[in-house]
Amino acid sequence: MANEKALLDVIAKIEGDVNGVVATAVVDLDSGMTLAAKSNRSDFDLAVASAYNSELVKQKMKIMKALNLKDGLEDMLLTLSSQFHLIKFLPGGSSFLYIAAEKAGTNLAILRNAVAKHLAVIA
Amino acid sequence: MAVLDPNGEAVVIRIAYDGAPMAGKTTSVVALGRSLGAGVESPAEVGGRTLYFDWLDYTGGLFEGRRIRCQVISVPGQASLAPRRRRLLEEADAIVFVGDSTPAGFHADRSYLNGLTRVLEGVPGPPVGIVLQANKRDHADAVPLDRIRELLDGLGMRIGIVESVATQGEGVREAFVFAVRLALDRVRELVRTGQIQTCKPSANCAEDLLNELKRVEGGALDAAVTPQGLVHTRLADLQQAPANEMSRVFAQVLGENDVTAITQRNESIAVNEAREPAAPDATVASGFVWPPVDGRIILHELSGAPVRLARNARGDWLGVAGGRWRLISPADAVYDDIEAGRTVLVNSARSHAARQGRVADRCVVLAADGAGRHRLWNISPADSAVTNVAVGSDFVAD
Repeated sequence: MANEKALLDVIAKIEGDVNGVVATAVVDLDSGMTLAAKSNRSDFDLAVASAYNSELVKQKMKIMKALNLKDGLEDMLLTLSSQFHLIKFLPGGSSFLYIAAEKAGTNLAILRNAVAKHLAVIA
Repeated sequence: MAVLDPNGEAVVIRIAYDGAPMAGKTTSVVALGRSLGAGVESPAEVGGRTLYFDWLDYTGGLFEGRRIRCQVISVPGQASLAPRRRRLLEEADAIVFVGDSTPAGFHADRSYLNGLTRVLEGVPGPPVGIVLQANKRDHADAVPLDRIRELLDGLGMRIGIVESVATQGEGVREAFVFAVRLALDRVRELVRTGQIQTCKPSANCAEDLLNELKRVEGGALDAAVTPQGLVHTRLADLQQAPANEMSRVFAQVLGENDVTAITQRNESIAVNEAREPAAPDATVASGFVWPPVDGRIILHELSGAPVRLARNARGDWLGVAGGRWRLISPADAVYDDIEAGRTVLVNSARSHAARQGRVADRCVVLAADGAGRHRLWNISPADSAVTNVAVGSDFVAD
């Protein structure tokens, strides 16, 4: 598991490249606990969002297993009417980055590119 | 031992921080609380005398659809309190062993790890996982990791190592999450073997655990606590300065609503803040307002209302928002480091809550001052405040 400080640095860099970030966390897949978290909105409970998104990822993995898919899960994208929620695995697969951003502030390409670029640093 | 809480739909686990004296157990728990935005309390100091444990309660993550409630405790390291340490360790679902990486501390690690192994051997049920949080890695003479691994190999222990500098908060959260994972592994096994109970945890708060320990010990360890020895806790050391300051702040906002309490303070406080600070509003983040829910509601109501701030002769900022709320911020309640301010807020809020319970009509907030620093504000109903402010001859209107 990466150091909290290093993860917060990555989060800061991503936020520097993406407008409209609501919240970002690095989440331990097994427990749903956050290893690092930064929320820009007081009404967005990042600990809860992280916990339930870890369940979401686990369910997707179960689906893949049930379908006997041998492929790897790289990321998951959820598109809300006003937000993008992106889940991207960190190297090793035991944790993932979860980011929520306003659609009005960014687009999917910028979001994905920024996340991929800065997560590569901790590869 | 872990239980499934029938009401809270949570799994309750306990993580114990063990280690030799001065290894950094309490510092680690305090740093963890800061990182998680949760307060740490120590129920020691009954008459400023005894030491039991530090307590942190945090709910996060999910385990098979249930929230994970973590009761984090640190055990006393003093040899004279070994029976107490043993009792606390026996109830843990995972251990974070805080190892001292300095050469002098490393020597003590061995005997404490030995003792820990013996305690855990007697614990029924699935094995209790251990994380070795190798602390004080910033010391120039820190023992190399290879030597720590050799020590563990020599003791026949196969446990994960996480490097840390607890005083700076580095590595503490990883060690904790690692320990949670180990605890959940144990819970899975308890569920699988039908050993887990669905009931309230034996201790639901620090006070419960304290009472439980006192009952079991029956005063047997009182003799171990000499008047010259454990007169206060490490937690108290860490919190003493800000706590004293904050107790004054809390006394103002939660106590008698008396502005004169401010004016009676040391008049030597420099009035060096040239510009008016920004007033708190609804953008204050979670973890920076207390009480969290009622305080958030007050902030919501306060936002958008015109705020008129002025400063008295001692440099305290006072004001009224929307004619309904009074705001007070003592001159020196300003912090360059937001974490330092939050530590003061959280710790004092918890200790105050423990003493006086819930207060719904007032709150304390740490908010950006608009000049790169953070200021603590007391917000309370304006009706009493207006009277006090008006009476205060040193209230300087703008």
